[in-house]
Amino acid sequence: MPAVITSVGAVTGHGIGCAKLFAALLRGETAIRSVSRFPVDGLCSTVAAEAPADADLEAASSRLHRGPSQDRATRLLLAAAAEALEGRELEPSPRRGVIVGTTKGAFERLGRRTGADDLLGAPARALAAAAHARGPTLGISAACTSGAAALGEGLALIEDAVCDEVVVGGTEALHAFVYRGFHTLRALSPRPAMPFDAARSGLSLGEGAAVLVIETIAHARRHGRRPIGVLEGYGASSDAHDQVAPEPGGRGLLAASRTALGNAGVTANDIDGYHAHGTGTVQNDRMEATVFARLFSGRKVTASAIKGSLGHTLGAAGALDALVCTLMLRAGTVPPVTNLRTLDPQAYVPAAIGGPKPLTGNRILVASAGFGGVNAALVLRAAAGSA
Amino acid sequence: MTSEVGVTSWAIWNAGGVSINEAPVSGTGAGLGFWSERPPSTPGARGRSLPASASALVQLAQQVLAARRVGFLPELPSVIGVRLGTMNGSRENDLAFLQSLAERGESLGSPSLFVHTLSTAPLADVTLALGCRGAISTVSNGEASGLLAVALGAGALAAGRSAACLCGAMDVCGSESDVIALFLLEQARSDIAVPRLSGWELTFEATRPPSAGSLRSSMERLVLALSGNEGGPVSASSATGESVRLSVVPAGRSAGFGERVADLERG
Repeated sequence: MPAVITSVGAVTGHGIGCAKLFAALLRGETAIRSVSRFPVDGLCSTVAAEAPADADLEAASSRLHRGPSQDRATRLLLAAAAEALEGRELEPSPRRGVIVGTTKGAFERLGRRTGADDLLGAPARALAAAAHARGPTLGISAACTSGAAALGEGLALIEDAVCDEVVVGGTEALHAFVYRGFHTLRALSPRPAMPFDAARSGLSLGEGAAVLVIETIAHARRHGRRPIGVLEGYGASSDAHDQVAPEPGGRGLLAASRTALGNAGVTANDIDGYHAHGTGTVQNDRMEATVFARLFSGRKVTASAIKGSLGHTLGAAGALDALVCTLMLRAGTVPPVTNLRTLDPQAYVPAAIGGPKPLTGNRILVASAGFGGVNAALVLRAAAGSA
Repeated sequence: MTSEVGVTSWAIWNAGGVSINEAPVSGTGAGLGFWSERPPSTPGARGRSLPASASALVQLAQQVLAARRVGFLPELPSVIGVRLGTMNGSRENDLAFLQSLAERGESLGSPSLFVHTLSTAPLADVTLALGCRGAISTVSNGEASGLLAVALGAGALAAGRSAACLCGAMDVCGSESDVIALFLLEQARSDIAVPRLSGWELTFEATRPPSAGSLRSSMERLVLALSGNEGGPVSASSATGESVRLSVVPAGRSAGFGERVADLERG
């Protein structure tokens, strides 16, 4: 059973709100700039996409909750949630769940004392309190597919009739810890990431949050909410190949994609757009190009990717990807891949270069992949009446 | 849930040692390093050594798959997922990586240690060692995290989204409450006598009293319910009010849907 997406909210390096985000994507702008929040001397990169300051995030979410949040990932999440939940009547309900994908959660609260603080579950608990959710509440972590996994788990709660609506989020704060870790892996690009470009030199990190409210169509109708998109299917898999590098043939991502298509009750022939994980690393881009070729067998399917604009937001990435695709389906427009100028012939995907392209059709496959060889895919469809 | 889910083998590693299915393993004691005759684990990717907790998880997963009830299904499905509840996540490795940055310099951390600052890295080690190709994730919901992982895994099997899943908990921070527990869930078959999960429920009670148990104790209670003759509900609550209840049917007994619901309601 599909779930309808009835509202969305975002915080990214482009600021607070979906309108700013989508406008920047259409213009091909990047939010990846010099890092200001911690020292990066001596590291292989000095750039990242930083979201607005804590005070701005707190101000944006002040109508949703009382008191300051204790960590930046929660601040990002609640600022995004304030947009997604604006105008909703939020009576406490056991049929409203909350699932939030993240890889580090409330990391800055990490202490040396034993006894757990449940740092990975903290953002979900804060969102559940703000959304008066009395249904299942959990943090989910699946490396860089965490945001997509949150949506997949939310869809499952609706399919299994556990919930009528699920507030799904992905959130990740940019920490010096993580930045230095990616430096040790030599994965960071010294300049803003250039997914699928022949001159790419690695990924850029970013931070942000996305919140999507998904619900049954009947529940949406009862509350007079108009769908802005449809979440039709989800699939996930493991490469069982390497902790860091993807399996070059893309077997795992292909399996996840086929599972998502099957879950949605469609085939690759029904897909009109492919939204890439698109980190801007050689291994990822070439793996995805292989998957693209095997999935679509020469069909004209428009490819998109946003990490040249937002950086890689890790646990938030899958949710932000799905949110942007919802906006693309609503607008009927595919933004250009920011920083892509010359396609790598060994990582060829038919991406929009230089400017937006019209989206012909109404269904997008959204791909995610991550450390540990995890893969996830979502199938999104335009709501009836979209452009 | 639309059908029952079989639990075809399980294992727990806690302060008391290691138990596989109903049997304690001799030579094991407190702590992850005290399984003197533990089987060798597959080395980490590219020959890197694994952190102790990841190595322990891989070894326990090997044992759970080896201890699977013979004949339950003709063949174990090739796509096995791994879904574990955790409160501490990668805390130990996070602290170790921070320590390495402090000692070696801000730009000289250990790459393999950094990879294990993801809570799913040990689960990925299991997929690498055993060739599992299913989805992996950790879920966090306070003290209820372990039962939540089992409940979500059972729900995915019952709905046909998954064929087999190693579910349970991994919560390791160097304390008495450390636990690794794995339960192999598969589709139940009426002609095979294995314990089953016949219902699950996720609820929230804003006014409930503070949590009555730890993540570890919830896993121990599930092991007891699976190992004994009584079955019944097993529940856990987080400090913030979320509760998970599983209904366990012992081997050799089946429960109709009405019985499952009544079982949960009696709770």
